[in-house]
Amino acid sequence: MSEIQTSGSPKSILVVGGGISGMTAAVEAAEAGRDVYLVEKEASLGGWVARFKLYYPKMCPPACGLEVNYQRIRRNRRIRVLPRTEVRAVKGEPGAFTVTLRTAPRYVTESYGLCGEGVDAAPKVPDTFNLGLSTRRALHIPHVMAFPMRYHIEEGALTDAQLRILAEACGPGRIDPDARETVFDIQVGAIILATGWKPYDARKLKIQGYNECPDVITSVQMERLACADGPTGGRIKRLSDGKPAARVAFILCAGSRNVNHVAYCSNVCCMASFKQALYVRNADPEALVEVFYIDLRASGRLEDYLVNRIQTDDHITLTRGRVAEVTQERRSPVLIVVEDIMGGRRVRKPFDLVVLAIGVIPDRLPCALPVDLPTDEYGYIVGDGNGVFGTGMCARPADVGTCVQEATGAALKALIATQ
Amino acid sequence: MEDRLGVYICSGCGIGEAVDLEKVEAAAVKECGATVCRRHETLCGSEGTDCVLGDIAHESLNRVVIAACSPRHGPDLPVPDGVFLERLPFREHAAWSHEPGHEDTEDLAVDMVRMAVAKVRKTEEPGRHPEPEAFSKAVLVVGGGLAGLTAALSLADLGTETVVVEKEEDLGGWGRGLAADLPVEPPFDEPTHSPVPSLGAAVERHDNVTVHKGRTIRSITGSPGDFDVTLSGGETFRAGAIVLATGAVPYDASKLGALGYGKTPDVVTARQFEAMAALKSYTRPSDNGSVRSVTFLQCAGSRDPDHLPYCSADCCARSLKQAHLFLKDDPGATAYIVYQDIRMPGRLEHLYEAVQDHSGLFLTRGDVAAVDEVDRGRLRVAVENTFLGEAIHIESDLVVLAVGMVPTTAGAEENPILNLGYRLGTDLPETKYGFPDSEFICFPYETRRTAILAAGMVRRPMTPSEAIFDARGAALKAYQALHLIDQGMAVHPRSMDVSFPDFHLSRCTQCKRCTEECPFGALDEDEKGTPWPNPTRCRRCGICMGSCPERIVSFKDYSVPIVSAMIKAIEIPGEEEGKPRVLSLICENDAYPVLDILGLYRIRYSPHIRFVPVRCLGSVNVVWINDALATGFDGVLLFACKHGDDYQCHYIHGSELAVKRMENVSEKLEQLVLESERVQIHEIEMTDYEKIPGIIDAFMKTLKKIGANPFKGL
Repeated sequence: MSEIQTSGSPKSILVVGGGISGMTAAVEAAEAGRDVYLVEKEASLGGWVARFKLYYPKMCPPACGLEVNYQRIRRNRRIRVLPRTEVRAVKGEPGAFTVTLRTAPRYVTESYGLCGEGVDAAPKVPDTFNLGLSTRRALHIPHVMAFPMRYHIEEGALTDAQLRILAEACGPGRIDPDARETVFDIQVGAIILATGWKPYDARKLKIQGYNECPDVITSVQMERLACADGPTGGRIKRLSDGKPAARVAFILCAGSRNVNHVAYCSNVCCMASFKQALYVRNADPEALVEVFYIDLRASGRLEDYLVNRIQTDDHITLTRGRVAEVTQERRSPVLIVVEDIMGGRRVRKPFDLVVLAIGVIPDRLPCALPVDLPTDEYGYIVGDGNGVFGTGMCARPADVGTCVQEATGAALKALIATQ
Repeated sequence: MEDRLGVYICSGCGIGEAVDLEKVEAAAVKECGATVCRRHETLCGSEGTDCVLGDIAHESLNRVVIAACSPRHGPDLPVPDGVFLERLPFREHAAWSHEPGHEDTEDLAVDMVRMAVAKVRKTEEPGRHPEPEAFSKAVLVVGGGLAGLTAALSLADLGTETVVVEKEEDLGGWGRGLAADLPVEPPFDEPTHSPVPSLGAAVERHDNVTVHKGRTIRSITGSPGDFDVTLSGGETFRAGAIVLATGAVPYDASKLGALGYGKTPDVVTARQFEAMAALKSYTRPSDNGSVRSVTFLQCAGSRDPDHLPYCSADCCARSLKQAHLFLKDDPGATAYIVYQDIRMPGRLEHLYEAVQDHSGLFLTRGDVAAVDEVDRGRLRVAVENTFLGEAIHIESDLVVLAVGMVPTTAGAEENPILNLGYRLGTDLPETKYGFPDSEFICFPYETRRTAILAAGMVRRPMTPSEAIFDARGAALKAYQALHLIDQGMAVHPRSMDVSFPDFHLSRCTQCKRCTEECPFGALDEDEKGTPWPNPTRCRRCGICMGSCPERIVSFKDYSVPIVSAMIKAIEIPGEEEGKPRVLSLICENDAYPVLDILGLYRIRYSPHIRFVPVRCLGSVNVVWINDALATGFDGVLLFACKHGDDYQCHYIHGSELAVKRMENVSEKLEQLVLESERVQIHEIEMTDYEKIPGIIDAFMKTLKKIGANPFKGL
């Protein structure tokens, strides 16, 4: 990774979003010989996959593939990575866009390195990497697999007075409380949007008990609980009392395939839940898991890799049924009432922890575009051409492998648009 | 040119407090002969970087060692060609992982500098591989179906000369003659025209595409950038890269007798039913009687360990589509679908919703127990395990089997597709169930043959819209491979690496290990069995280097002598000092970051271990183990990636080969009356960082128990 010396050209490509899709699009385009700007709003590349313990269906750590991509980016002088940066405005036309970017202040100077001096003087703030499940010091590295690996302070996390106190504690010249945003323009011929996704707001799901029950969590929170670098050091336990979760339920289609919430199938939740069922099983051989589902969607090779394994595990029960009610009295088990479709009866079951396989919705570019880029009624980018291309989870709900495929194809479209 | 060495030591981030840097400097200057040796408190900052770059320019340094933060965390210095720079993870692997101020930490730090100096002193300029005649920039696309046509059109639009070879007389593949195809665009709620006819026309019209129909491939010789292709009609041309888009074929329905196939002609395959739908003429094959009711049986062959253990991905959608067409053509008719799960991933859900509006459609979850012919030639399907737990019978005029799909590469050993002239086989190596893929999550296009990319249903079962973007991705990778090859660079995962293996063939004993063990089929052989390197097929993993008993394979910047020199640079304390030494060879992609993470967490482990990163454990030559034990190391610990069906090794079977070679090493150790426990190999994953200190501790305990290496000091 190095600086592209110019401020872009009609042959340059802008990739918005440094998750797996954006990173892939950027590195593939750069290795095909194009100058690429890779813009990421967080302080590190990696997006959601950096927060995941394992990928399905091979049950392998995302860090392994991330590392290859990081090294490809490092070696490639055609990629300029811009962390903490957002797109402010896009002007111009296909082949000649002027994009205004804004980089948030880091407050930490280069002389700070990774020394960590004075970190303890920084106030604690919610840990966004852990999805707010824990706190961390306002002065921190994004995570242990961060790229670039630097300390930073999130903009707005500290007041000016707090910044000045911290600057004192960290030694001279290491914290710059007066650091300001940088706003600048680049010229590009094509734009790849890989702005990704976010989980559907679980608070809107009335039946599944997310609001009332402390031990009802979402699948993304479950990922962090399972990660060794997560809020519990990788121990899967109840949020209410910290007791180990020996009986864990997964409720599939939490929001998805429901016209009142997420009308489409989110495509990743069945498999993600199976994967997480194995987290529970691998962590505790005695643990019991029950999965409540409508259809097991394990298209193609996902079936032979993971479904067989789940179906033959005698500690995992698959129940086809619709959840009618989820309740929890303080610190007691979570009770699930389910209409068991196969058994044809209504049953009530207790669990220590309930995981909602939450539906996914697209994340959007925070500014207008000068070209027409159609989206569907849910906000997914559906159009093509006009020099702007959507890829990954902002274009369709898809698993990592599919996102990588599509992002590689998006690089091709951008190459064609800028030749 | 003489070596002029600069050693730069950072004292920041706690390094200065943990290590007596004067000792390190003394070793750098006196022992290692550094021309320049400087200490800086923030070597990662621009001032530090300028200092190093300035010295390179003014002091004519050509060998530089930076002992500071890990190369994964620190800045990359734009050093001029001919300057070899090694960045040592002084901070993560020494200062942060070991007791500050302890002499063991200092010994480690000094050894790290010695190893790095040994490395840069032995490294040579890689230089480009010999220039062949101009590379071909054309791409061969094999298969003229949805994926092949999409790839061809994409490449042609990118200005790439493209040649499409289709074995049928017409382009289009399975998409030809469909009544309607699955939607590939929003709103995804009804079947549409297949995109294939217009794609085919666009491909045939395109100036950059040549189409050969009714042709198969007789042979492909050569290597990426320079393939010579001969077709069944005798046509010949050159190509630089290949997209394999030969798709999938239906599973042999005659094996599905349990579902009634073959019992009566009125049990038909989905393909047969598609032909009826195209003509809007639904008749029973047995008596030409009209069909007013149809039962679709899903997962015919798929999701079945006795047939195809995987899901064929698009059969649910295709049966719903066929039911929809049938009921639209005959609104009074009835269609039943017997399924396990309705799999309509993503927005295909909208097609599912729309089709459910037909009042004549009945969806039944259940397992098919029997299909029989009953009165008046009607068929009866017995279904068990339905929603209500009951067994039911469904009667209809026709039964349609949604037959699963098999990749065309399955059985390519008997029926070659590409007919490559590679020593290791005529086609892409098959993995499970005949798919040619190698890594379908992170790097889906990385097959085991450089610049030969698989796309579409041949690669894995997928829906048509997935096949379209899969084809575009494969097209990009083909274009990119040609771009990199043209510059003498490797493709993924060591993309842009310009080193390549040299073979000192006069010392070759024709043992053929290198040719057989190369995961990428890069090496061919002459009649005597001498390896014939094909540089553009090579991924630079160094597995050939690891395999060679004569040690004739070397990269200019990675070789048996370089690593041996690093091993020999480590000082071995006498037995009486009670400081064991362990050599640890680690995968640079997976194990190395794990050590960085341990440093970030300040997790401690034995300071007596010396790490040498390698490109792949498969590149480890056993002579390094011998060197280590002969020099007095007490043990050798290797950290490899996971192997087996779900391998995580980026070079497919590098770590597997390492495990096998270490078994042979154990036998040798026993012959030398050395304990076999002295050499261990462990598979680790990147999330395993917490386990590493435990593995190291256990190893150190084992060594303590068996005692010091008896060869120490000899």
